[in-house]
Amino acid sequence: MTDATHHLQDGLWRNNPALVQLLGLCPLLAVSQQLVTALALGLVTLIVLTTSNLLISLFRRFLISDIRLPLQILVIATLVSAADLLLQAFFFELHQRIGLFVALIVTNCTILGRAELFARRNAITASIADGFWMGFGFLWVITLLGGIREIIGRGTLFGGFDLILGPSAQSWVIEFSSTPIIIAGMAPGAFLALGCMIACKNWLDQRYESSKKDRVSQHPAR
Amino acid sequence: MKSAFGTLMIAAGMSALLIGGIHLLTKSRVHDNQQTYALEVLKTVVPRDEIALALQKKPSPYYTIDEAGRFIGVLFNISTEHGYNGRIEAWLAVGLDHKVLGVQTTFHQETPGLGDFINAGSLWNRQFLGKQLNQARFDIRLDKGDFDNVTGATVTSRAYTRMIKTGIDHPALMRLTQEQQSD
Repeated sequence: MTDATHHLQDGLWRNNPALVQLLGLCPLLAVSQQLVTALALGLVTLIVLTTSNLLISLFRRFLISDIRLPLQILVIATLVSAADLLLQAFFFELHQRIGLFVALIVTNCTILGRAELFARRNAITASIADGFWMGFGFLWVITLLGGIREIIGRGTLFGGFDLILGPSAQSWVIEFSSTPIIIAGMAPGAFLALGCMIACKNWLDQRYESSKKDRVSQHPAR
Repeated sequence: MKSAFGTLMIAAGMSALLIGGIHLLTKSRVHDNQQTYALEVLKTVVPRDEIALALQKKPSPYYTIDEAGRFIGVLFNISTEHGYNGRIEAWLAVGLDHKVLGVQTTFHQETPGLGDFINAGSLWNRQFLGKQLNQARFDIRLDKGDFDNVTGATVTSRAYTRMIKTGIDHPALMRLTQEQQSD
């Protein structure tokens, strides 16, 4: 297995930050009420995570163990502040919706976790790959969660996309039901939906494992 | 130890410079966005399409409302201290003929749940729409007026209705009406 596919599989599935490491639950659960906010926060997290891995790997020579945690937090906080300002300047209405949680990306343990576990000990390209795929793993989980909760909790999908893509996206909204199940949009719904997703992932993993065992036992000579 | 301290200082300085730079570059844009957004939110007080608001600073700040280029009324802040728990604040939009164009609560401390009926966009709030100062009696039914009071929240209903009654005759309306007639 090459290095690149290793990072890809790790981030997207095997060591997924949201489904396996269970890091960054605060933004994951709070911002996944709607597809558009989930997608937006996932993208910001992806960018911050990749850049923070890049910078920390770049400056890993200076990360003396006494001060490495403050330095890592400093890098992450700087990037998040910058992202917050840029969102305010270019996607102001979106910022009104997710602004509170953009600041909370600092506390997303996925980012500090990757800095501490990976970027400070590895070369730049590997760190970027790790940051990108870990961020992507977070992105697809939060987006899927946002989609599921929007369909069940609001009865719509693609609502509010005009916040990022301009007024032409207003017509994207698909209405599924006029009697949504409100709880899916609230905090308990977030926990239930994430729990189901984790169960689903574990079930798929188990099925894959047992099918592999079956194949091995059918052909003992191999 | 000394080098650790130095590294930390340099890193903090660099990060401060970076954020400061981005802040300087985006400052005016963010400010514009905030203004536009605040105005968009304010426009929802008046339930009509294609209106424009313009801030007037004298004597006290209020907005003039234009619909499709024609001046139709003014939008201003009203408040009362007679709510069940004190202060209530709202935006009130009034037409030239003293007709209520829209009202939206911005602040209150009434009993949660019971007093929520005065919140922005509530059904109770909508009974004021289109009512004119000289034609409707701006009191609750309990006080022989024309507006429903909510059982169990009479104080809130009365305070709110009287707040609109006293607020509706904005000094700017008289002056602007005269200006329009002399034109």
